[in-house]
Amino acid sequence: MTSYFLPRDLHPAAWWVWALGLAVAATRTTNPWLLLTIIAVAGYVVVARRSEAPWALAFRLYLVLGAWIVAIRVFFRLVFGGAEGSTIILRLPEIPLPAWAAGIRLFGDVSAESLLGGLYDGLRLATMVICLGAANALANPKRLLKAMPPALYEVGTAVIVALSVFPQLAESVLRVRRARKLRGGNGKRTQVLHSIMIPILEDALSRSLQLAASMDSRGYGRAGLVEARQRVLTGAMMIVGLIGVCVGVYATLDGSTPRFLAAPVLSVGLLIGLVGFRMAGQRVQRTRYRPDRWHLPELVVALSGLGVAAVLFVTSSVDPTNLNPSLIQLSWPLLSWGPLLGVLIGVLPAFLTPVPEPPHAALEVVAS
Amino acid sequence: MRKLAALAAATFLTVAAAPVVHAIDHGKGYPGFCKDDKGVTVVIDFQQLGGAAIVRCNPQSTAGTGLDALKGAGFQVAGVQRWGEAFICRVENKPAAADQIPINGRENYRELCIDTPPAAAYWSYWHAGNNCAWDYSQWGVKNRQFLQGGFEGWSFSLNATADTNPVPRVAAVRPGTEGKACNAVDEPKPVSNDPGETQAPVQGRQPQATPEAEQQATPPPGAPTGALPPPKPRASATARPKANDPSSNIAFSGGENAEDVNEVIKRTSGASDYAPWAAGGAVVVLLAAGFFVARRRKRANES
Amino acid sequence: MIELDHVGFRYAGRSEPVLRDISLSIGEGELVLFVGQTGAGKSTLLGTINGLVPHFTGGHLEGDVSVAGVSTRSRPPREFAHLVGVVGQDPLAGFVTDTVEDELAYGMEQLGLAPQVMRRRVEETLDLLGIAELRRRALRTLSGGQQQRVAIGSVLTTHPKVLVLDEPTSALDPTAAEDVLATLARLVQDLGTTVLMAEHRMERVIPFADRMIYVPGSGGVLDGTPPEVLRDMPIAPPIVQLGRLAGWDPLPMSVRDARRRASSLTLGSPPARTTTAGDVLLTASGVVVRYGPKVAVRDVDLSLHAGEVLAVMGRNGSGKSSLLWAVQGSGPRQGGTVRAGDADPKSLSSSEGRKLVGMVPQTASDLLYLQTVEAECAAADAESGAEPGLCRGLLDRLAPGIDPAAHPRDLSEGQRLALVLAVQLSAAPRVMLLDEPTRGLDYTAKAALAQMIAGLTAEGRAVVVATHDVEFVATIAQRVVVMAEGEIVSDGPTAEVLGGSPAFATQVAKILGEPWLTVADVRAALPQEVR
Repeated sequence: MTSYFLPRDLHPAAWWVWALGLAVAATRTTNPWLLLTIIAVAGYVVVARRSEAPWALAFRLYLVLGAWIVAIRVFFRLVFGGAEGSTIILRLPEIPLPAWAAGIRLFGDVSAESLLGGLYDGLRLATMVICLGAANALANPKRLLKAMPPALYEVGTAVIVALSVFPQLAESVLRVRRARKLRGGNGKRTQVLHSIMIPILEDALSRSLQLAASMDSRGYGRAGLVEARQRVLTGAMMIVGLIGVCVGVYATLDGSTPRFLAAPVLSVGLLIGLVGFRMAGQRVQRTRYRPDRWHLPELVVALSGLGVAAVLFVTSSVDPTNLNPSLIQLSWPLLSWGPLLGVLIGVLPAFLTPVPEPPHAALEVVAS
Repeated sequence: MRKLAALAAATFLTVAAAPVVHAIDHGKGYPGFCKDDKGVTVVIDFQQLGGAAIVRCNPQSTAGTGLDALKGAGFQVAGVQRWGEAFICRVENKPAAADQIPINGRENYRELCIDTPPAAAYWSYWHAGNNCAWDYSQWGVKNRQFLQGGFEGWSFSLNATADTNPVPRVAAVRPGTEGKACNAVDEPKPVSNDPGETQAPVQGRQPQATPEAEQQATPPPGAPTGALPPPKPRASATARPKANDPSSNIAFSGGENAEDVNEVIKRTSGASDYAPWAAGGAVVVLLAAGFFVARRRKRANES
Repeated sequence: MIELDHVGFRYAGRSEPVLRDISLSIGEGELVLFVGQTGAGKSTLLGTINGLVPHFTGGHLEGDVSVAGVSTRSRPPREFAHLVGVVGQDPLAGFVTDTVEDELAYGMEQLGLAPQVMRRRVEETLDLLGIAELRRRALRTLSGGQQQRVAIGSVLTTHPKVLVLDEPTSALDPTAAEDVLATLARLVQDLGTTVLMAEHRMERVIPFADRMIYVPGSGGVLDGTPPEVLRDMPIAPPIVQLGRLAGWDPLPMSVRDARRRASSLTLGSPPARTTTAGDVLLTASGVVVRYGPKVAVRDVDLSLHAGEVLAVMGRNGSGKSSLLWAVQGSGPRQGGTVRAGDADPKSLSSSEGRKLVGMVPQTASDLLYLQTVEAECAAADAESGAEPGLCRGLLDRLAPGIDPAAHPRDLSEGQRLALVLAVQLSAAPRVMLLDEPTRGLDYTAKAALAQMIAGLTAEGRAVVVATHDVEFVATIAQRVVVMAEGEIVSDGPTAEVLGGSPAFATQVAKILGEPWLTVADVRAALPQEVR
């Protein structure tokens, strides 16, 4: 039991499952009580379990973004047709629009119902965005890339390399711009741009060549021993599976296509694709250094997120009005205990998981 | 974290600004058919949803939309979230959110009033002049003008096609005018595909007032019209088909005993009076806890 | 272990081969040192070992290279990853991941080693290289020496049979280079892998080297034991030069070696270093540079005299560069005054400022952006408002014989430095600042640079050189300023500052004691008959 709470970073996928669970729950409701509770739950878990890494500090940006979404939704209701409903609370002069803009209304009467509708709707979207923000703050994006299935290993490496290019580019730009001043730096704009871009691009190019040489000599993309026949088979399975999934998804969404194209084709396509994927992964003879593993805490995190989503799915079929408050007559949004307690399941990871490992700097302080 | 608190506070204020719960406004309109050619009679036929049809009158003598007619007659309606009240998805809480609607192929369908309801289960919108046959409305509820002395009908269409949409099963005949000619003129069809296009409130379209002398003895409003003797068929000069015989009307009421919809929802959904307080409390507690944890962490980092 | 059989190599589009008919056989556990001037073909030769040449670089390879019986012809470099570990010059450019631990594990992941093995080897390697405390650090935040040690560790984890190091210290400052070389020396003795190393600080490696291969640039190689090869190699470290001068045979291969022999050396009095203090060209007082809360330069006073070379020394991050940029006027300066002539260069436009104080930044090539040397020179003349041909004339004086149609990127480090210097001199500044000009230069190129600088001072200019390179400072500088934490901690004539401190002692000073700094000093003081 003591080892359960030893500080460590949880598997990033667990946090993503948790956050997506909350986000899915948010899609099921426009009840402001529930949405605010979801935001508070996500916020508290982030505060309690985030690390000191730079991406963990981005959560407040998501909160600001959420506030913006709500504000913009309400503002739009104000500007374009806010007269839905009968409780008019604001009478603005309506701006007459030419005939070609028929159907669009600018200002005019604003009703409380429509403002509330905008608020609920905006709050729902904001909650979903904030849930994703929570996942970003809690899960190390690089470790998530590392946790990708073997078949996608090379894509993951490419993404990591690409990400590391940006700070290097920014560094080059600063350096070259400063150096430009030493040569006077007056001249035509295009010439100045040219004189800055050329060294930066040459720098970037030579760096990427060095990186490619280094990766090549360190074994990146070792093919291993794969027969050509098996490679063709794997490729074919992946493509067939993908086509099957595309057709299946289309048929599922479009009710007019024959039903046998929907679920059966989708599942068969998925199956073939997964088998191909699996085979592609198996031929990759690579291993992971200290892979993140799923232990009990990860399970707790993921299940709590799924639990929230599940409760809101179940209750939405029992008492949907609870989750989508009616705007027929203005009233306080109703709420029953089921969904509220369901949402509060999501706060469990703040208590039932180990804290993340302290950052490097803190370790040094403790050690010295 | 401070932003979150501000957001919460803003939401509280907006919600608090909303007026308090009030009971259904039985003061709006009156039960049964309109007594004269002022105002519009609204007929709600629940069809397979169950329950007796409701007929109420909106005595509004000024021009108004179909939505005004509904609301003015005292009906409680709900629009879908996507289109608002331009698309009515519930009348008198039917179909209720928890009700299963047996659509062919989707037996467990529930109307959540979020997006446009499916074509197999929705409220079809009808209108008729007095003594005229019901017409499927080519206009949206917010776009057409109700006919003074005429009828607005709502009939739930389940598993029907455009040709088999169920007509409201209460004839558009005001008691006392049975057998009279249908004087309504054809209403113009929408000329554009613009959903916002509205009918021009043309005065000339109002039917000529039926002379009082021609009226037969008026039965008391709300009395079952089925008991009346069939009116004599009369030759009509207009091209409009006549209304059905009121004797074939199904049973209907004036909605006198209809419960307030909000009360019903609250009762059926199992909502608790305390749950919102608990939710608010949970939000406050979590925010405060988050604040303290963040502060403690900051101090630990600084030291 | 490694067999080169009549290997020749020609880059695509070049008629002249870089390597010509080279046959070598390198046994297991040998340490082979490759020396030669920059651009002579050392890197190309080392690149053939794991097939990067020609699989990655293109070009035409003749003959056959095989490692542990596997020919590089048949397989791409990645299939040699378990056999050959390659460490390049710029560690940062070769990093694939972003933290120390991940970088160490990367190669093993590619080879598909078992997780337990990886874990164990990472821990072993962290200890072996003394970087255990850096394990979770981001690679970008490490110092150059730490980065290079991580780069070495990252190839060691795969336990390669052959380790190829291509000038692993050339992009590092001397302290970091010492660090890396000391680590390598230990590794070589502990591990017993075959090591192929190109390194111009050869005196550090020679004691362990079994063989030395000199690549003169003509296509062939000179192979032998270090003393044999060093005897008639044109480039040589100061110890060897001193040994040749004194006629010691065999040549001394280490400072200890040389010190024992030095007792037999009879020397006259050391030459007096003339300090010709001309007019004051620039005065700076109370200079303060800060980046946010970090103070880079703290209240520094400085004066530059005509005809004088001032060396600014100090460890990385001691504020050398910041001081130079502040004095030039292009960099930030939060306090103090700088007067060059009768103006503050910061108050002038950048094109006026460079006529007072010129500067060559650390990455000199940042200033070059045109396709040919000729175009660069023409642009420099136009920018400086000088008459056409001035820059070219300067360039020909600094480094004669550069092809005007050559692309600046194709020049050697030394030639490129000369080009940038000529570009900056075309504005005719009386003060020239050089930030780390010796980085990446071999002995020959450094000697050429020293001559360029001597030429500048002879024309009455003042030159400031920020550098770590003690030998270089001893050759050129009249005055040395040592900085630490943004402050000047010592300021005086070169002999005084360098001779008085063990940290800044040159090789000759380590052998012969305080007043002797360079081989030239000794040569001047030697009795005539020995000379």
